[in-house]
Amino acid sequence: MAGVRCAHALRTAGYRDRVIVADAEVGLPYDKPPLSKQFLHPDTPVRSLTTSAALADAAVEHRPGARALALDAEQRTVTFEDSVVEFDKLVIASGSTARTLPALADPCLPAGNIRTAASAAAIRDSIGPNRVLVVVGGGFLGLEAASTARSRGTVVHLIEAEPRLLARGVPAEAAAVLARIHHGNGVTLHLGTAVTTAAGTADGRARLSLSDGTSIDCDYILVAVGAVPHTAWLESSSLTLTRDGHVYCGAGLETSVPGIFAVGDCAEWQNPRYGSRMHLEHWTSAGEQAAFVGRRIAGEARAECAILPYVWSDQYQHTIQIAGVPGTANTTVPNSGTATAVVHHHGNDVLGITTIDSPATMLAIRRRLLRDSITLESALATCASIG
Amino acid sequence: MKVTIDTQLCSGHGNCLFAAPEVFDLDPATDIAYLRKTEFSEADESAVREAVADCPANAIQADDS
Repeated sequence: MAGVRCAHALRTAGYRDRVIVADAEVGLPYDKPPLSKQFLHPDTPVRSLTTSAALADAAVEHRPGARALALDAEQRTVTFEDSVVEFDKLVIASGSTARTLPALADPCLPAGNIRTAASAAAIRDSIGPNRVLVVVGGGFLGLEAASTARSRGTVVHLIEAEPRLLARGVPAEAAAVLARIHHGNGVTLHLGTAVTTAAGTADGRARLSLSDGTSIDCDYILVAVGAVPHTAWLESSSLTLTRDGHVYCGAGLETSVPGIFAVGDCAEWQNPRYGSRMHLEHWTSAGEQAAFVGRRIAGEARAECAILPYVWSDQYQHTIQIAGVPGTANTTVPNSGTATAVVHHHGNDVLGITTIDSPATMLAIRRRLLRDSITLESALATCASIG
Repeated sequence: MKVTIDTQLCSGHGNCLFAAPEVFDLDPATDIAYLRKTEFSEADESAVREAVADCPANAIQADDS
């Protein structure tokens, strides 16, 4: 996504030199968010992000199936399986790969993740009426897949090692509402529970043992326990990587080597909006970063990429949205039914908001967060007035 | 440029308002985006392209004509 976005931003900003988009996957670049939602319904195609004609119109050379193996930052070359490409400017958008669990690493298990259309297709073919799906991981990806699997009549167990859902970055108050939504839709939640052993059975299914003594027979195991930046191919280069493997970037998304940039899941940069270092695994910010770097290389943009984080998730008929960053305290404004707004703040300063089924409240606060600082009183007044 | 919003797909994220505030707004009654104008300047057109790419629901179409 970020690669295509950057290429089109370069052209829109008037960049005239050659642009090559190298993609490890085959086919046209496609959008990832639907993979845990619409795409898990039968016969749903991937949503292409561009067309061959649009790429040709923009004079963008698209190279599908080109997996980057190594970077030489001094000689300014990227090595692929069957070629070496020279560059003047490089944008690294190599994303992330799914984290794995030792207990589920046996390749004979009917288990997988959702990072690509191919991996999502494997779970799609394993869910439906009378099928049993185990989702390991109570983050957004696992919850979205659980929701889609339930809508197809699948029996769903969700296992989360933490005592609550969405323990990273989502207020406990909002996570509790989501837990009720999933329980109400028939998902069996196993919180504070880990998978101790997993074994394949003769009929191609699997038997899991959990830390609370439960045993589950299932057709498929979705491992959705987070992602790690896909930067192993950069370890032999002179680029600075952070301890957890992100590409280290300045406020303008430039790496430790001038003329080489990184965006999206694999990048850690100094977000000037907060004056702190961040890495965001979000669709909206990856697109914003890619467009920023495209404009910057074309000579158009500001020197710093300030981003107000924004995340959304669709589960059943509910929408969860988060803008900004976590605070040191949360104040909840409950509304009717599932509609909820949780304001993240530090003392009287509002830093962000999480909403469920309240798009107008989200938009009002997001607009204000982008423009100026907000006090807790005024944020709560906005939430109450929109309702 | 011809710009259309698929109101079936629009989910009220409002990313288009941030990308192109002169062109898009959200109807507070329905949380669905609408067009504030039908004639677009060059700056509008570039902002609209950004909004098309920024839309999580893929609900905006822009055709150069």
